[in-house]
Amino acid sequence: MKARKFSKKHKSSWRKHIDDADVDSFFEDKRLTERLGKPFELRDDSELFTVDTRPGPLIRESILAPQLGAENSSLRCFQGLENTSAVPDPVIKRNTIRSKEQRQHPILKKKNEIRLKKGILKKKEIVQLQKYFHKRVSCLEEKPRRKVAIKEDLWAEKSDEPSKLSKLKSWFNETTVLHTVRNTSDLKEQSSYRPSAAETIIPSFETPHPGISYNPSFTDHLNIATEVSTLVTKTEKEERHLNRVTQQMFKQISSDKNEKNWLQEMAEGLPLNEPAVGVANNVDSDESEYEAINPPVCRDKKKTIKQRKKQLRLKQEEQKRNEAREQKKKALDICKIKSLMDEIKTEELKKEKKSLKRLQKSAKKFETPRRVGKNKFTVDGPIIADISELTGSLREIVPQGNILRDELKSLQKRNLIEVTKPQFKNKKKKMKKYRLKSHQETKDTNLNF
Amino acid sequence: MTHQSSSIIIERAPSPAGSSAPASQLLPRLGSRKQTDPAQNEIFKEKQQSTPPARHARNSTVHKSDEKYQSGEGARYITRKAALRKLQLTLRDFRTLCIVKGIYPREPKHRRRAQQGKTGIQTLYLKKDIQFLMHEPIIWKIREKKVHLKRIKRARSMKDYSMAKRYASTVPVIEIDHIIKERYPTFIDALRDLDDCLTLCFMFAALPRRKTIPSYLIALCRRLTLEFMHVVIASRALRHVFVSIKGIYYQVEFRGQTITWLVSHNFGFDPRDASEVDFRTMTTFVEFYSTMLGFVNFRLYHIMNLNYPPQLQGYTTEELENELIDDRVSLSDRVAALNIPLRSAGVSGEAAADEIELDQFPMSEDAEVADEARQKYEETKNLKTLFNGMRVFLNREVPREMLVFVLRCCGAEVSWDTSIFPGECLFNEDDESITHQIVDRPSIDKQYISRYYVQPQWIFDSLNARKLLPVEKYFIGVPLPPHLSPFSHEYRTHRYVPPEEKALKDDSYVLKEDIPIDETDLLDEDESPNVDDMIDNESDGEVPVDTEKNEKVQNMEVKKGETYRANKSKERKDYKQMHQLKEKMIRRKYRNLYKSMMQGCRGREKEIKLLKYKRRLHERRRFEEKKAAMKAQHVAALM
Repeated sequence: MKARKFSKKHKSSWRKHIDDADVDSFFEDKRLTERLGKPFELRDDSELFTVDTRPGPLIRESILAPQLGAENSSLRCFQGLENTSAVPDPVIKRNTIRSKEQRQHPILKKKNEIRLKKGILKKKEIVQLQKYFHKRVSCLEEKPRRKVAIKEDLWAEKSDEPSKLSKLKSWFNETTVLHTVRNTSDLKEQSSYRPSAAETIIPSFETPHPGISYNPSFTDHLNIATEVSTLVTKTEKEERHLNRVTQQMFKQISSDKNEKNWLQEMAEGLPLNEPAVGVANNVDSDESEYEAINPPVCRDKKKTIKQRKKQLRLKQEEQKRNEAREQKKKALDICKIKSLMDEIKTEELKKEKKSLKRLQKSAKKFETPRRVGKNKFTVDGPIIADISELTGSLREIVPQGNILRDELKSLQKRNLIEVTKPQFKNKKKKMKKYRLKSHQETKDTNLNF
Repeated sequence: MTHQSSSIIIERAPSPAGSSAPASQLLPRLGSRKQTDPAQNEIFKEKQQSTPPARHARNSTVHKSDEKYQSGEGARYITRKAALRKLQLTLRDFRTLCIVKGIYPREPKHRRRAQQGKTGIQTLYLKKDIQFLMHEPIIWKIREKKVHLKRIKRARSMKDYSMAKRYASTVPVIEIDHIIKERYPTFIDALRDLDDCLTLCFMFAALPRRKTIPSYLIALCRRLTLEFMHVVIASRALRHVFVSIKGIYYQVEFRGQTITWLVSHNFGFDPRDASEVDFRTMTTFVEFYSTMLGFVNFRLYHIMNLNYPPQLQGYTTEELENELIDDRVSLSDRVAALNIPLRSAGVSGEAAADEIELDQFPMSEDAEVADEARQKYEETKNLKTLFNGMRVFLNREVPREMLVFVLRCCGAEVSWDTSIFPGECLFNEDDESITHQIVDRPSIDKQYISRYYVQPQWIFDSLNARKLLPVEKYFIGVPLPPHLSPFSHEYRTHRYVPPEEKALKDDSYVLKEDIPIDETDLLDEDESPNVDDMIDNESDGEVPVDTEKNEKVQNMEVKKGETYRANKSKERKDYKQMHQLKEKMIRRKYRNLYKSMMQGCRGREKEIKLLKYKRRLHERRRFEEKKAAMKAQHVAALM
């Protein structure tokens, strides 16, 4: 191949087309040798090898054991920072800072080592260690986030000095007082509203059933067992009922049949299957005359004046008759005053009774939890120990029930808090699903999306 | 009248005649209103109520629905959502605030009207309550804290950790002391509401660390409950104990208020499922209640004239400092041991107060009530010193804390095996002065003759019975009598009581287990002694009266004159007739009720009779069997 000619007009164009890789690699090598030191060929044997005078552990005992010489090597994360270059420091005289240990006098150093080996500690060191261990332990302790010990009596009697506002009030007009104290804290004393207690009158402590004793009497245990069994049968009955009126009411059919039915229902009335019948129906409907439900008023059926007058006369006569009857009744009722009074009395009595009953009912209402939120309050059944667990020994109690849950239920029962349901975060994101056209199956088109 | 008008916007009340500015002009002020004192609104609201609403002065073109729900139930309630908007709080903060301030959701009479025409069930609060909440200064603290936490979060995400640390050390602390004073104006009010407080604090004290509960709260609860237990011990306030499978119920009495709480068994703890209990809500309650309990403890200690924080007798802080151990840890351990009495600051106040002697002549007219009260007082007085002088040693297998608490509440000295608890034990097991050792195992190898070995139930039953029950029933390895609930009342008194139950309740009643059979009786078969008399001497009170009368007749001297002899049968007959007449006089209204009552009474009597008869038959059969067995033995011996 013929060598290509290049212009050598400028200095830059000389460089461009000359291969100087050999020069570069030479310099690379030189720098590397500077960094790593002499090449191995040029080094002495004493620089490369050491003579083992003592047998050492050749094989590591386990993988978990530290590598040989690991204690001397620095951490891997700091190894990048170390200077591994063999290039000598260009600044020959540098001020190096020695560590505290390096600065220590060798004799003192040795003395300290001997002291520590003997287990003798200085007071300063003991305090330091105690501090360290206390720090480790204190994370388990109650932290003084707020004042640890209460130092004042909340209910101690204080001198009853009349407030500034009440003092003012005794002298000045109310508007004047308000004008004066408007932007001061004295006005706060004014609010005397106290929120009322919750509506229910259920006690905070409900007496426990004697049957839950760790060593109950036979009758008590029997009582609680019957209670539980009746509750269980009741719930079972309720479940059966619900099952009957919901699940069992409907027939289960296969999806094929369902689809078939659906198609049939949707095609109802279309002239697809029974064209002949459809035609016959049409014929029938044509014969009957159409009649509106509310036919329009016809002008020809208008009443005559005579008819109207007669209608009016009849109406007036009827009115008169009614009035006369009323008058007569009033006259007669005077004689019936006594019976009427009786009637009123009984009516009033009835009303009174009704109102009393209502009052009683409303009073009783507050003995049960009220509905204060979306969710209804449900009662947990009583707890019961298995008869085999009731050994009568305090040592062998099998604790039943959940005190925290009972407490929560009690708070809900007394309407102190509303009934809530646990909210669990749905960690799965809702993804929109679709099929790529290229991956669509050609044969089966009845896909349920 | 700017403030007046601003309150109008908040209250949505019709504008008073005084202000002429229309509501639309005033609307922009709402933003700047935040910093003004909410208390002012209430005053002006009260003022407005006195002035009649100027409904007719309004423009007639206003739509009718605007006028609806301005008064009555529709105006009285506010939905939770609206409340959140009004208070500018998140739901979580609102819930916390409601719990702390004691604001509860309400059920209206007419829900649809209260919900301003909306159907369904919304959570409703009283509007007044929400206005009351607006005054609360801790709302500002809550907001401040929210901002602060956001700052920390920002610093963390910017990786400015030093800044985050600095912020973390200055998180505003929300103090609720003033709310406690506000909710419980007197000390008695606080005592009344202590049931929930103690149950929750004791429960939290026993919880393991978990993510949803701040760890300091658990330690705080433990400390507070221990302090409370100490003060109960010091004042000897424990009245009842009931050990159930759920936990241990304690009832104490302070200043006439009975406080009952439940403590879980300290073993067999299983970590609770988060779905079962809303831990966040419970934590809020506990935060509130722990503060309250702190104040209650402080007050109780001061009433009892004790040092608070508790200091133990025989331990000074200097002494503890000299020991080269962490003094705080060891002191808290010693406090937790419950066996060393607290150091008082002088003469015990409560103890002095307890020495009151009741008047012998009752002031109230009802002597029975006074008598009952006196009896109760005596019982409690006795209870306080029930275990005085007893030195009790607890074996390893019995629950320590509960037993130490109960025993110390009645004046016993308690010690235990050093392996159960690090606290200081007063005496060792080989101490000869120990009077009782509590054991809960079937047998024990080495027994001392100088002490009783009883099962723990003896302590609880004795406390509930207010007297030291005979120890024989509770000896080691003996099947125990049932542990009855001290809280249950017997509603049905008219029933058959078997002799065993009678013996259990009444110590004076002696159960006739074995009827002595004379050897002479074995031989003559025809005339057996009247077994029934021997089995059941439950006489109806007639027999002893008759004998008394006979004695009287014998002692009487014969005098002249006629003695009045009452015709008993006639009297009975007359009484019956009178009774029947009385029954006739019963109004028709109550006749059926009376009838059913009497029927029930007869039925119960019949049942009692039948059961008594059955028992008698059973006893007789047993007697016969025994007799036959003895006879066979006798015959065999003769042969």
